[in-house]
Amino acid sequence: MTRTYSTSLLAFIVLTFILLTFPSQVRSEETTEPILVAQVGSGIIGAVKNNPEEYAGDEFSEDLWGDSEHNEQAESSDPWQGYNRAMFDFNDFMYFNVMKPATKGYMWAVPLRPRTWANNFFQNMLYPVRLTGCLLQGKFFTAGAETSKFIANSFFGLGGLGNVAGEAQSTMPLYIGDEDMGQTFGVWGIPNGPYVVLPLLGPSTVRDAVGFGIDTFALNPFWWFGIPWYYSLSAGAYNQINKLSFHIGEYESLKEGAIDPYLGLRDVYLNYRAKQVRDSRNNPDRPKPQMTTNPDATPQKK
Amino acid sequence: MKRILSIFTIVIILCATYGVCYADSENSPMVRLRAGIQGVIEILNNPEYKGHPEKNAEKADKVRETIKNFFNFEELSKRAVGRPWLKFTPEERTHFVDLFTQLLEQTYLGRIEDYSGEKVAFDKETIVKGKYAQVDTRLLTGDKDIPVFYRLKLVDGEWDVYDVKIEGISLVRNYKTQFAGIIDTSTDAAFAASKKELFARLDRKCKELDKTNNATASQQKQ
Repeated sequence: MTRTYSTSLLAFIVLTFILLTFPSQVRSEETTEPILVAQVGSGIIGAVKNNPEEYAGDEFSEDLWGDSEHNEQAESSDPWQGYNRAMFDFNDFMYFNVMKPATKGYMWAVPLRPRTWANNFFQNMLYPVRLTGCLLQGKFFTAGAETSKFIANSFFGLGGLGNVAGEAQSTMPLYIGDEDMGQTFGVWGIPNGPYVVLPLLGPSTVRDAVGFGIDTFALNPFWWFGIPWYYSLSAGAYNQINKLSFHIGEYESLKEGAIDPYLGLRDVYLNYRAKQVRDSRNNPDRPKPQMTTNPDATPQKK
Repeated sequence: MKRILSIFTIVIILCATYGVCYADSENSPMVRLRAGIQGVIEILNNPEYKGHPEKNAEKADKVRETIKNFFNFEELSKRAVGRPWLKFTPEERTHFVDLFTQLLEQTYLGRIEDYSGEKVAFDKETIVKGKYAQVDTRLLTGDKDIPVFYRLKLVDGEWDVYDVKIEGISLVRNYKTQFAGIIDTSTDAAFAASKKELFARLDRKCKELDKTNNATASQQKQ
């Protein structure tokens, strides 16, 4: 018994070590990255220039920017629009009459700092979801970053309440992907399938809903160790309310400018997910800005 | 004489190339966009308006004017409608541009009140086909950078913004999805009816936004 225990511990240490060494390996090669980006960039532009027929004279063509792959990713049929619209109205009603008042009350009762701690705690606990996503997508650099962040926050951040590792860009040039199973399926080339609005949870697609199910019931530690389902469910609900307290007003502003909020939200969801899926192919290093605005500028007298 | 002439030619060529270079850097999409955004920031930071809620309307007017200078709302409307735009009459087009501009202004002008000194970084410009450009920018909010991509078109020698893309979501495409759900081009009769519906809905939305904006404005005054 002790033997198997020590082997699994050893395996864990070895895995941790491998994952932790990844960032440094990638970082030492960092200098070559910008050149690579430049080459890829000019390659894309070159490809467009070599095929002028593709959009010749068509003012409405959208493929000017190499967006077609993104648009393909954001593609989803909507065969259940009748049901979806009804569910959208239900969710809309629930948001304004239940979730929002509840969140507002919670925000009144709990100040910003404890809410941030709670958010950090949940974020830390959901590490297995993100790690699995990273590993299954072959993003070992991000998996290592996630692991080091998890360890740092668990041991030095009071079990995840603090966020000692800080935000991605403050510590090291790493990209923490908010990975989940839906994105993993997307990276594997599985299309969205029909668009579906889930009760209370909002917009999703068949692919993302399946991914969400796996994330929740298989990879979320709140559903492990035989914890009764009602505790797991309340923890999840609490996490949602706590998260919403940081995002109140976003749905409202989205709805405000839309003449068909259902279609507007569907487009936002699908494009946001497509961007998340394609993130894996984007470079985490950002280019140096050539110029910035000056927010302290005093207006010039004319 | 010949020597003087050749020196003269060289000077002229130098002047000409200098002029070209100067005009080029002046007419870069990135420089143009930066000037536009900087203009808006200056109005927002103007001590004349800062902390004077009673001057909000005046400030909004100024911001609106500045934005109109570097946004091409006609191109934006055209792309948001897509191909059916070709079947719109010139009057319908102007009417549509008017309504849509109003809708966008009323939706987003209130939002700029949230501006609190964030910087905008301009990372990269890409010019395609000589008249389309994309400028990659980031809004630096302190703890998080938000990438914002502006797409510009060169019309009459001026680069103007026709689309804004944030988090993979394009403003034009988002409205295009919504308009496509209303416009029906299957038959002429259906097209006419759906156009009517489109204008009615735009009109209704603008009135609705106007009402809520006025309500919040009077709330602020109290």
